[in-house]
Amino acid sequence: MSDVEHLTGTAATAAAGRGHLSRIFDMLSEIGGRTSPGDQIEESNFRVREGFHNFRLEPIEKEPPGIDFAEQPRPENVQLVYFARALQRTQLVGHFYQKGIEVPVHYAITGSIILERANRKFKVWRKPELRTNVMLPFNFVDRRDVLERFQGDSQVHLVNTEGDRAEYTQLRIAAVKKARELTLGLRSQLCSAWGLSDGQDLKKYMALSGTVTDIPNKLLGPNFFAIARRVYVPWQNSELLEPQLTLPPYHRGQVMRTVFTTGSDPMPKFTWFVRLRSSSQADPEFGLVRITCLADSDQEAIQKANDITGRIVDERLPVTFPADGWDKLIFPMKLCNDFLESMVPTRETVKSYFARN
Amino acid sequence: MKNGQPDCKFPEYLNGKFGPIGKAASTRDYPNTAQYFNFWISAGVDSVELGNIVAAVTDDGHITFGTVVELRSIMDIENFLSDYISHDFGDPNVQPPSDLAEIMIAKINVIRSTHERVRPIGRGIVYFASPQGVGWALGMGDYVAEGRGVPIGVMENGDNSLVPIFLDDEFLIGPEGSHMNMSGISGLATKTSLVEFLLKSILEKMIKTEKRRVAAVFFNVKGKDLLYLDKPNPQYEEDDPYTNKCRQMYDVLAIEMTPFENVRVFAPYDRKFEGHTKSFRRDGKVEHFIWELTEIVEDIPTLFDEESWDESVDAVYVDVKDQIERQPIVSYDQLIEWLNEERRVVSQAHITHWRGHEKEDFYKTAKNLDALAGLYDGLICTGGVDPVDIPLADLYNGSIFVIDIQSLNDRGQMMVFNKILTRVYSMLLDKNVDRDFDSVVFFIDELNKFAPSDPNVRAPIKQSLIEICARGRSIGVSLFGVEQFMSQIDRQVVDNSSTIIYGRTGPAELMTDNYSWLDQDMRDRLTTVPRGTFLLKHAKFVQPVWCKFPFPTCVPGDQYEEEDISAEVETESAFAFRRDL
Repeated sequence: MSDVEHLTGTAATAAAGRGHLSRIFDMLSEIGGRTSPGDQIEESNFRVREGFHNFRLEPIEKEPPGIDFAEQPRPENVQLVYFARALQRTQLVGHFYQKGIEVPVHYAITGSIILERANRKFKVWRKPELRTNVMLPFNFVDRRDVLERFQGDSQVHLVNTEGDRAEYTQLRIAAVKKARELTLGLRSQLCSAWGLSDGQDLKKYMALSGTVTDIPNKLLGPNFFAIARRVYVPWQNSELLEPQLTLPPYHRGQVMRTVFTTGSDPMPKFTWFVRLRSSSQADPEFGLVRITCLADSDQEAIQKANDITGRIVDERLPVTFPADGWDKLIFPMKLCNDFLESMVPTRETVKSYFARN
Repeated sequence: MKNGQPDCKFPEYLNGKFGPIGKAASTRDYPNTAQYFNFWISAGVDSVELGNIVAAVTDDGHITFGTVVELRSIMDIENFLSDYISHDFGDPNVQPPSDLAEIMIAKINVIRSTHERVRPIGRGIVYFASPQGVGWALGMGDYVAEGRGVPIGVMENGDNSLVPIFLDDEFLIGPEGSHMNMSGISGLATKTSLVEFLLKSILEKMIKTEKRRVAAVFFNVKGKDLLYLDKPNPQYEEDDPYTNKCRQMYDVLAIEMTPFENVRVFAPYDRKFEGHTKSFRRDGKVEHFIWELTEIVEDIPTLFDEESWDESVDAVYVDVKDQIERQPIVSYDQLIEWLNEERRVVSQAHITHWRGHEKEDFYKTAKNLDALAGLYDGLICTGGVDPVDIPLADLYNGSIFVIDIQSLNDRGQMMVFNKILTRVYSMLLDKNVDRDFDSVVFFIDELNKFAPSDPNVRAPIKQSLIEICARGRSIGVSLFGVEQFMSQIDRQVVDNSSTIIYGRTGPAELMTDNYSWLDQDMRDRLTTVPRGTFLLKHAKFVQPVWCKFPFPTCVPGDQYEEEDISAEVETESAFAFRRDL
């Protein structure tokens, strides 16, 4: 029964899992680098500016409606069926010395997924978009032959972070920015495919985790909205955020139009806050999420705000406690994240792999 | 997958038609080892249950077989508090818009792998093992092919396949191993029925293959359990689903649905009703036996409890035995006559001792021997009744002797059992005896009475049993013992059994050492195991197997009503001597 030509199942699986990390390690060696895995992912170290300072908030309601949406009837024409989320994890794995500076090398996982819900059960819509990347600024690499050889790799994408400022930290930030670009690209690709197919049923809405403020409206559909967890972002008139902190549970704030003020396309969208849940010892931002959607008129925006708020308040159950930020996390989004995370090596695996000389 | 079949080196070992039922995974908390692995069960597969035999196909195309020993249901709930909150702070009627993900995880104890290396599997697509695969995994293929397979039941896998399970006769009735022990609570008609089924299976297979010559001696220790082995089971006149399934099992196991042939039943003599026996069976089929004093003289001390037969009595009995041999005294009546004379002599005032013993000790011994005929009426010849022995020389290949000793008390049963057992043992040892059998299967219920684990309980034949259990396999003696609680059986008797069967067992019993090797879920399942199902441990199997067996072909004695049980007094008579001394 022996079969020496075959790897055992365990060995084969392990080898496949380590394969692309091994190739990155080889490449790093060939360009004269050394391993230096970071403790945290770069997204935790560097905040990428999302451009909110270029947007202004314009309230279309004078004050919140004062409705407890937990008690409101649910509209039949708005059903939450699709849930989308992206994954981005950029990890510093090594660096090399070139032209007088230390140049970082990153390992980045970028991906996006849509889950479809039917009869309270979930399944993956089509298939998740997932990319594994090794990122470095090409213009700091002398050994072009190494890059060329690596560019043909089918499993790991070699990405130029295009960092031009010859500073170690700036090059790290450039890597995170590039990773975000890739992530948004994958998200956009998947959402567009959805919009052209199942997204045509306008009763079935998609909830997307993240922000879409700077996405051109033509790329978004009418049955689509985004949920952002961060309350404060530097809008031009961010003082309008302050009253949102007093919203009671299951209430929404006033609807505001967001307008891009520095470009030719104002990309007008509508946004409002919803208090998903509260707790006696919670901080003012507890359970507060911001919803963004498109509408053709202010009246339609208000109607949509009411409809979507009712539906999103329903999603407060089941809770995702004790997940990080569970107060703002709805269960389908947690499931999206679990799914994506299950498909990639853990950050501990990556870190420990590169924690060797 | 190619043509609907998985990519593996041995596709015939899998049920590819049913399709994959899950995938093996190894996690930090539940890492796979060489002894077991875990797999999650595919959505929509709801037929995996404890005891199923599955096959995991690894990337290299090899298969690892295992038994499902644990099933866990996992929901995406971190703790009860979060679920409580998810139900709007404790309202069970709340139905959130999303159902929490729920998966089933199975733990598999590895039976065998097609790969020679002993190492854990990581990933592997899991299927139900095909009957052929189960056969290979359990190692049955070789001995079944050589005609040594004795069907004991079927394993019903999760894909509804009925897999015949065979024991290796060399490990059931010798010489490699021998003996079977079965435990389980009473009242489920499992233990006796299974032994009847197994005996049918053994005899039929052995006679068909002509490789072994096997006879059987069964002891009926209670009621009518084993008295009607030759009567067809009326259950098979029914047409209900379970009976039909039983028929299917006989088909799968290739056993004929006929009652036993060549059955002889023996019981102690009943002097009150000429020609009758102390048996519940009254159709004239039962033959009587009764022994002369000389036949049981060595066994007499075992018929009394310690209080009645203490060391001083035992010392007196040595001299009594001496006289029985010297004079000689051949009958019980002669013994009593002689004892009376001795009593008369000893009663004289100037005589203080009887053959060096205190007079009181002699009187006590004589009193015991006086009582013997009354206590064991029907077993000892008195009043001119001629001795009739159980004709063990008539045993032959395929024949069954049922010795009905239900009318005797425990000590009487023990004495008869031991006597027959040692006689057959001697017959098998003696190369000069002309006999038509090589092996004899003994069946005794309530084995705990004969070989108790408690050293403080008097069990005169325990050592003899241990000796037979240790050496019997090479001689051809196979003991099928049954009891309610295995923990009450001497460890050596159990350990020498190559086949151990567990029926439904109470939780307290399951906490004893005898069951500690079983996984917790398997143990727990034993508390609820349904009728006709048992857990089988066989010397050739790496893992225990859950089996089912059909109704036996003979009528269960406790369900049989004879038409002619006319005289109620006779029934009473059959009970009359089952007194505890």
